[in-house]
Amino acid sequence: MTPLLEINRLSKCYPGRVNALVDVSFSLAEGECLGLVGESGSGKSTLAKLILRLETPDQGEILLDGAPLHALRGRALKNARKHVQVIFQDPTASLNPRLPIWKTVIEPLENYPDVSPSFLSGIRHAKRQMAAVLLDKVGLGPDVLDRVPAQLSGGQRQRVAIARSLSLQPKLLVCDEPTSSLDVSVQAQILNLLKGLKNDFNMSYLFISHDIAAVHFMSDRIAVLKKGRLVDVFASGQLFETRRHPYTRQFTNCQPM
Amino acid sequence: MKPVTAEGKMSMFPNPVQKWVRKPLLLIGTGMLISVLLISLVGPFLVPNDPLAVNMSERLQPPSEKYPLGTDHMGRCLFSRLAVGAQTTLGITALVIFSVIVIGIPVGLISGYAGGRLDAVLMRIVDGLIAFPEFVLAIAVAGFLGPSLINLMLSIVLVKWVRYARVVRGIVLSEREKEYVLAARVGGCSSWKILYRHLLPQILSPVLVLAALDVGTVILIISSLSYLGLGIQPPNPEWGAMLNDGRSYFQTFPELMFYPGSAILWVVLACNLIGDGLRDAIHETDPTF
Ligand SMILES: Nc1ncnc2c1ncn2[C@@H]1O[C@H](COP(=O)(O)OP(=O)(O)O)[C@@H](O)[C@H]1O
Ligand SMILES: [Mg+2]
Repeated sequence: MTPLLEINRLSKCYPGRVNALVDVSFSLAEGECLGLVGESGSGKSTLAKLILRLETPDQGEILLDGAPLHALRGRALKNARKHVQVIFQDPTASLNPRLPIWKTVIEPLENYPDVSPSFLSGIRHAKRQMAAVLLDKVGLGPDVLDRVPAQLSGGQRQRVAIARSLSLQPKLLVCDEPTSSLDVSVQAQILNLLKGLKNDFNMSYLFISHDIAAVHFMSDRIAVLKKGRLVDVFASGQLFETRRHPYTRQFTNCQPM
Repeated sequence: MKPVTAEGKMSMFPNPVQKWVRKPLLLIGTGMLISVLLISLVGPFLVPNDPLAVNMSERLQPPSEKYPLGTDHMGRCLFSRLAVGAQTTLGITALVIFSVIVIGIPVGLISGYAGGRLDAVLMRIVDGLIAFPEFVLAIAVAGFLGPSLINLMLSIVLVKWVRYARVVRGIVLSEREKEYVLAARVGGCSSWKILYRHLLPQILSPVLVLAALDVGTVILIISSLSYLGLGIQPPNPEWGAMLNDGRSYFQTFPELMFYPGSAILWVVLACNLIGDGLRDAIHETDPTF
């Protein structure tokens, strides 16, 4: 069976001779959550942006359901893109400060009029109703529909960003440090929400974080990125085994679990 | 982050009218501009005399009941000429500012968002035009095209649009990498939709400030070009042209230059007050601007 996402020998070098990603290969099965850890600057966001086609790779392949995502352009790219959505780290930056919440949440549905997720059946034409349903899925009431991001707390904003990422019912959700900029008290709520949504919506996750505890909680398998190279990939339960890569053990030792 | 309370919301989003009123200089500037706009709109219907009527027997009269501000060197009513000239000066200015915005915003948006070769070509043009002092370039272009109203406006638009394009491009360059734009791309927005829905609203307030501050300089360029004989042609009343007419009588009848000069000063001051006030007001709500 083909994996949902397959990455083959992916490399990316930014102008200015920064080898952000070197020869990275892995695969992600349907329904799986793959955790990706690495310290700041190790290339995690670069990998996310390549998979989201926000950057183009220098070398290598990105296969989504066996189709070459890295080579698509124009219409074909737009069509493939609806299967891969994203949650960014900073929910303040990831919401347009001038748009009311309900418009932000359903924007992807406006862009793909042909996509009809099952949970929106019957109301696909009613924009505000769709927004209310999506917000309900992430635990927000209809009172936030007409607010702008500045009128929400950080945790609420991240919930809005999650609602938007769900709207097309994607196969793969890329979470780039979704809790890193939130209060500690809110982090656990968001992690639990994401874990629940993954089952409800039958999605796969690429869960990126430098918080090994969060990755351990969320993931089936964990991949470790160091200076742009993948140094270790293992099942989540094997995190504390002694045969882990020294860099991985450094991670588990220096961070309180 | 704590949940925002109802009170917190109120202070974060004050009614824009309240904000306007709370800025005294903004209010004064707006009042000054409205007064001139009113005069330019109703003035032509209320003026006591024909602004073009020459009456050599009543040259250089002092203010009287018939001539509220007296007459010029050809016996024309100064007050009538000022009131009718307001429409010309302000009308041309509005048209020039409008054209400059309509050209500068799309060029800046496309240049900043598309990047690559298109951006390089457009910015080369902008750099070339910006290298000249704008006033000198406007005179050169107007002189080259020949004196006429259209050429006057063309020359000012040509020197002015580049600054708008550059400001807009700068904002787009910094906004396009922000995550809300990336999220919009992932959500399937076309480049076109990102430009008008996400980026255009970000640039409107800075461009508005730039335009308000530019009204003054545009009026000064129009007046200066008319003063040099490259703008509005006699006998049509225009403030700069009137200033020009009064030049030869500066020693004996300085009021011929004083009245149009004051009118120009009044509008320039009003627009600068508005521009500065707007910039402060925006800065309060968005400190990054
Ligand atoms: N647009 C860019 N231009 C140049 N260098 C970049 C750019 N984005 C990231 N980098 C560099 O690439 C490396 C990896 O960055 P990133 O993928 O953001 O790491 P992480 O998300 O793991 O913190 C860093 O050294 C960073 O400075
Ligand atoms: Mg990152």
